[in-house]
Amino acid sequence: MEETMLLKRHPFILLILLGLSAAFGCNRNDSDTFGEKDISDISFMSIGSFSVERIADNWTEVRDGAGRTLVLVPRGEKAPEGYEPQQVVQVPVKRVVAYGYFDIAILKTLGVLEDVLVGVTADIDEWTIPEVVSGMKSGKIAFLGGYSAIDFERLKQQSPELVLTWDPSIIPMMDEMGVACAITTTPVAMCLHARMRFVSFLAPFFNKEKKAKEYFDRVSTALSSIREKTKNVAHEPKVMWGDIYEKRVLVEPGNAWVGELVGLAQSDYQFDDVYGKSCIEISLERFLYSGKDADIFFTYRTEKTGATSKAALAKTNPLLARIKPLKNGKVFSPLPNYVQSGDKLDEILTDISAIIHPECYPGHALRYFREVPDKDPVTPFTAMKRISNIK
Amino acid sequence: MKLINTIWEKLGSIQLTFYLITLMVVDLTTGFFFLKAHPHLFQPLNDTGFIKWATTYAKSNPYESAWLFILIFLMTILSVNTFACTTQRMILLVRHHGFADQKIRFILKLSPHIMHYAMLIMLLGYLVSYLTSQAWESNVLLPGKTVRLPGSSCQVRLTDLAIDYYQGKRLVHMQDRGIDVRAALCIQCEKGKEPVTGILGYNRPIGFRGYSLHLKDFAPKSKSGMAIRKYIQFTIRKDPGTGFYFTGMILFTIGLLLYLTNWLTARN
Repeated sequence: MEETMLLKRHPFILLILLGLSAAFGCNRNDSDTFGEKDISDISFMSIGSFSVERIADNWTEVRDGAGRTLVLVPRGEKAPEGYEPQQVVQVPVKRVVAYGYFDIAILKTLGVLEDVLVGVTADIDEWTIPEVVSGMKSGKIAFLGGYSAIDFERLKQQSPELVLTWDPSIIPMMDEMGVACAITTTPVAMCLHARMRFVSFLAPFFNKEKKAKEYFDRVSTALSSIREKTKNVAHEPKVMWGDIYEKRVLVEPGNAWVGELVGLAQSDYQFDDVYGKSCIEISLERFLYSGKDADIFFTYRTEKTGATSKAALAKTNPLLARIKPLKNGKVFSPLPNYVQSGDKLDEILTDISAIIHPECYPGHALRYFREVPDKDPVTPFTAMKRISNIK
Repeated sequence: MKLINTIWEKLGSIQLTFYLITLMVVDLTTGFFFLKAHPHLFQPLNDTGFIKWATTYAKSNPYESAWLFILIFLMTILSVNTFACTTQRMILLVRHHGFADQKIRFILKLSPHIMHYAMLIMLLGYLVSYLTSQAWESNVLLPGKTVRLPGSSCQVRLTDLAIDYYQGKRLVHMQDRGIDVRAALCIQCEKGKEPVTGILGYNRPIGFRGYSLHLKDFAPKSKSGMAIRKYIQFTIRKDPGTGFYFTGMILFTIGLLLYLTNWLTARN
């Protein structure tokens, strides 16, 4: 009774209690459902740093990863006023140059890759996407040079209408050529929701919103399945994702989709408190401290770049040998198709979950990662080398 | 008339100030958690303008953004409360003090009220900024290249880009990493006329005819590693609110100095 009187006399106490309950009731899981609405039902959608807004029946305004605004206008129609010519993109876009593997995988998801892709920044032997390989063989898709040595003359010859890139330094050149440019990476790593929804940012460029929804639903189903399968696990392994290089230590921060997924699959991500861009640099001490009791280590290195065995990794960087996964834990390295399989994000997420909790996925065969063996297998060549060393 | 007087007195009451500040503390605490959980939702507020943000990001996420609207509401009442309270005191001061012999003492007594009015001017500046400012994000300039100032015929050219790399021995991980940048810009509006030049850096914006240029990023950040072209990324802003902030800040400083003088005089 006294409490009721108190609340009546001082209504602000009730407001304080309501405010605090709202604040503390807000947890990280909110970000999983944040903004998950059907794109066809809404006029505005935020996707991490990206956004898509239908500003009129036929005009869509998008904000790219760098915060730049582009307006998408149906072919042959007039653009709205207040936009610079380089901000206007005629849709559906017919010719695209793309830098990032993930962007190209999303074009595949939207079913437009074979029709629109005309230029890439990796040579033919680096590709695992069959459509890109065949496109390059036929000459439709051109290799424009590495990211730091783009042949702009060649790019001009390909007559792209849109360039999807992570490199802002090409914007002035693209503006001069009159080619629209969208930055598809963000200063802060994409969270899981943004990674899944990124398809909805690219979809309006090609009028493929329906395909984007199908993809999002597919990945959402995979996530629900991961939640369901791992909800009753007894052991929560500790996971780390990164690597030590010659001068730098790079890891995936806790706000990245990888960190979020690890938490979602009932496990501890060792860099959960690290916030920032993907592949963020941390101190060596911090990396080794986190590695002291980690169970699973995902390295950035592939077999081709040195992750042939734990012994080989330790030999490359002796400091790495100090972390627990290299001594008596598990180390996984991405297969060559991993970075180019963004269209199969559901399978990648399932693979990661199966690595963390193999007990929940009996008989699961990994498709995007391989477990790094303790030692390199003995081949006739290595045997000969060892014998010659003994002699 | 009596009713108006009662409302006027209530609006200036210190009790109302106390309630408002308590509520604001609760609201801001709530906001802290929402900001932390959804940084991407609030970050565009810096460049889209409040009305655009409210009709897009906030409208589609009302639960996450409600605290900000409550804060604006509370701030509005607090501003009215501060204005009423200060004005009431000012009227009293004017009525009960003779000017002839105590001019300096009277001015010194005004100091807290000057600070209050200064705060209101600064808040007005924020309101003007949120409602009317424009921002053009991520403009990129390579040495020798130009960008047009939006809504004008002026061209901004990057004439030189000097990046200082860490050469010390104490921080090994910072070796050869960019720690400071100075971008020399040249702004030309009409051919044949003397261009305006300036150095752009972090915490060193360039102001020009109501526009302000703010450095956002630069490259290459490291002497080693990926080979990246030299460039700067900057934001162009047109913010009519800045005049109000500066006026408010100058007035606040004057008030603070007067308050200090008054305090020292009373002490001695």
